[in-house]
Amino acid sequence: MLVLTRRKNQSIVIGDGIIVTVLEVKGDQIRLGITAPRDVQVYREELLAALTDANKSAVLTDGAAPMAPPAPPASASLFRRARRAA
Amino acid sequence: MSTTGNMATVTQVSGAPADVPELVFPTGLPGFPGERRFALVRWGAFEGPYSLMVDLEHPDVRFLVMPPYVFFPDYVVDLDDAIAAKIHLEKAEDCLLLVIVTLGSTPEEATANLLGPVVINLQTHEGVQAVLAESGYSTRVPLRATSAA
Repeated sequence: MLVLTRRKNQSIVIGDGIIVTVLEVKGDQIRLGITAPRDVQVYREELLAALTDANKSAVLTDGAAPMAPPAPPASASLFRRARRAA
Repeated sequence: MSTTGNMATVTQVSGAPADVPELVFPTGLPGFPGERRFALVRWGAFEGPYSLMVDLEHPDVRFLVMPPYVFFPDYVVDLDDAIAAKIHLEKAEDCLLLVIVTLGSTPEEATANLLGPVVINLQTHEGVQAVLAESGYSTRVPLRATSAA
């Protein structure tokens, strides 16, 4: 891991066009400003961890007979029929 | 992009075209990395909303998916350009949106992952799991909460 020391209002540049700026330091909280191209996704790491956890508990492995999920609400089947008729 | 997959696995997700023989997830899904190829297979009753996404190289990896509007008619997805670009999605009408269902020990405990919907480009058959970072949606939204209304 590359370790850099930065002060408030100083930045680091990652690759082409990604700039991370330290905006504010307050106790153990640091506010960062991120400029990135539109095709680069930026989000908190916890979100990725949440999706990983969710996917691992959602996967159906062989041997475990899946419990049936609930039937869709009546309003939804009406909606589907309407779509088919359209 | 190969579209010559096994046609026996072709299925119809309600409201979606029936020509999705094989889906390619160029970067896999969180927790299931690397390029992944899935078949979309209808599951359960003929009129049911559920399908299985079966990993073609790891058939024991299967996800239960459904179109979100069945239980969540007000679900709104604001896709960012990074996600759309990953699967070369240019037009909204080429987009098939699915959510992954996690089953519990009873039907009432089933939940849907609204934070990370699966987005499929019907033209290229590419797929990606989006991260709706600012949406406030959760990975475990009970199906019951709205179905009872």
